[in-house]
Amino acid sequence: MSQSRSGASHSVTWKLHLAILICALAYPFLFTSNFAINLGVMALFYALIGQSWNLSGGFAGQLSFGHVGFFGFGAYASTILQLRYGVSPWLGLPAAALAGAASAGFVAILSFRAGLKGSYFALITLAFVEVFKIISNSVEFTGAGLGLLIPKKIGFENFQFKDRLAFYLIILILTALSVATAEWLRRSRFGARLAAIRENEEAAQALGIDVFTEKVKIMLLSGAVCGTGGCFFAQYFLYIDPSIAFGLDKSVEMLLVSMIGGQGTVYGPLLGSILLAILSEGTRSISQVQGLSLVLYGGLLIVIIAFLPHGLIELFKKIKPSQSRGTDA
Amino acid sequence: MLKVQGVSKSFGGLRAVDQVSLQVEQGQIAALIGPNGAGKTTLFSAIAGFHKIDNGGIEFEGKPIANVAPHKIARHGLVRTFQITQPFARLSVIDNIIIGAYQRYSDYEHARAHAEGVAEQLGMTKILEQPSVSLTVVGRKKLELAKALATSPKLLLLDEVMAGLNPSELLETIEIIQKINKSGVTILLTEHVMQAVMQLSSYVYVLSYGQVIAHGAPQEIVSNPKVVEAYLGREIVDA
Repeated sequence: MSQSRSGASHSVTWKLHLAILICALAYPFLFTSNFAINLGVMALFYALIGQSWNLSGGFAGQLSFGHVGFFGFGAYASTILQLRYGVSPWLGLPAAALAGAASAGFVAILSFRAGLKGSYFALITLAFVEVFKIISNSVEFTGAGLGLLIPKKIGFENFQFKDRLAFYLIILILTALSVATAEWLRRSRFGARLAAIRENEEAAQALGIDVFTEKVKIMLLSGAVCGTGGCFFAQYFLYIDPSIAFGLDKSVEMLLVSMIGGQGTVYGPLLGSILLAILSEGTRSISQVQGLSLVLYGGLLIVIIAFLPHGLIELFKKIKPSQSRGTDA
Repeated sequence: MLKVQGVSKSFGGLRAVDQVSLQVEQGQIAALIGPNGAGKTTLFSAIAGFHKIDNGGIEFEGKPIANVAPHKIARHGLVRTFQITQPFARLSVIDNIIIGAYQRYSDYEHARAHAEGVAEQLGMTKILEQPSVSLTVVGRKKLELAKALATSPKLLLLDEVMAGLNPSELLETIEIIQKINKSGVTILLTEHVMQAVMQLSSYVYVLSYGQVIAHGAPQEIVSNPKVVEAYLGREIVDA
């Protein structure tokens, strides 16, 4: 959290980053079953898009329900480029980032220009996603309601792999980059300004912070990260349609993994997504009831909001004695 | 340094600020006083760009700043504080001040060093790591001042930084403001605490019902019948 931005702890966080990265790298070699690797891929995927939500929602306090829209733009961008124009999905990845950023910028500029904040902003992002969904449902270009099926042609150049391990490594790289982005944000002037905006926009303005521009900038960044998640998802499942690309369930999951893990923190989304992945895969193997994991997850959310309002990450902070105290004044 | 000419601002049918003109010279401490609801805070907000004005002109260092975005005015070196303190609640005291310091320095180390210097100047070194929500009134008022000061402003608009302080805190704050002024920062302040106004300011404007009803040296002001009337009302003699 931005509270703990002190120079002395930098070497400690370095070791933490390294340890987590090593664990993530070792995981697929320790647990080699398809089930385990798929679990890892999904956990990292939700960590990636959760982190994208966290960049704007957690660090900058711009609560969006519409992040799945940027995910959808990314997914459609790389898939359409590939299917209609024969562009390699590897090039589709940066294109998806661009599409995600563009859609986020579009939504951000329109909403922030109109001065929408808080729940109004959340609602308008929801509305945008519905519009995107309806359009993609009715336009031939996006495959309309049928969606787009990417033909299975396994090969590195097609971003398709026989071994799921390759997907695991790719999503690990993407997620690691998103974590690095969050870590940079935590330490940088840009991140400090976003924290100021999150806490008090008027006071931020009074200190010379260009609130509008900074908010648009973080939405662009967040949208880009989310867009890459869209491209990865399309390549992993080889299929997208409007209800996947613009389905609100993903928006909610992005938001939940951040909130449960700890919004505005570097590792919150990862922590939340690991839990979500274990819960959803775990409950699926016990019971056939659809969505049982979300029931459990919802219950867990209530418990966490009641007892750990800053997310699971608090548990780890409580172990460390070095945190500053002094709330007794 | 600051020139306000014929500025008016209405909210609906209410003229909060009515044809106000005033001037602040470089290096000065000027005060803006007046009864509650006279329009002091509205005028401050207008100067700092938070309210659009209906007519009139505002110049800062010779450049027109009326209706310019607040963050741009702040970057020119005209920074306001808020009467109702506006801390970045979930950040620690030092992180609050660093936000201001980041206007001057782009890297964390320099910004932090600058912020610590400001905190020391205001006697806040002991509370740096506290979350700002946990501060007492005087702590919050000081933090409000510290954030603004950390941006290295040329002109500070202080909106009632001394309201709610006890006598010893008051003396300390007066001293701090004098020190800030001596370091080269021009100050325009609003205040109800007359002791502070008398001790600090070299020129006073009195606002009542949105209009400047008197201005001059503080000693002249307190004996001005118009000012006494604005604060206490008229004597009922001929009734």
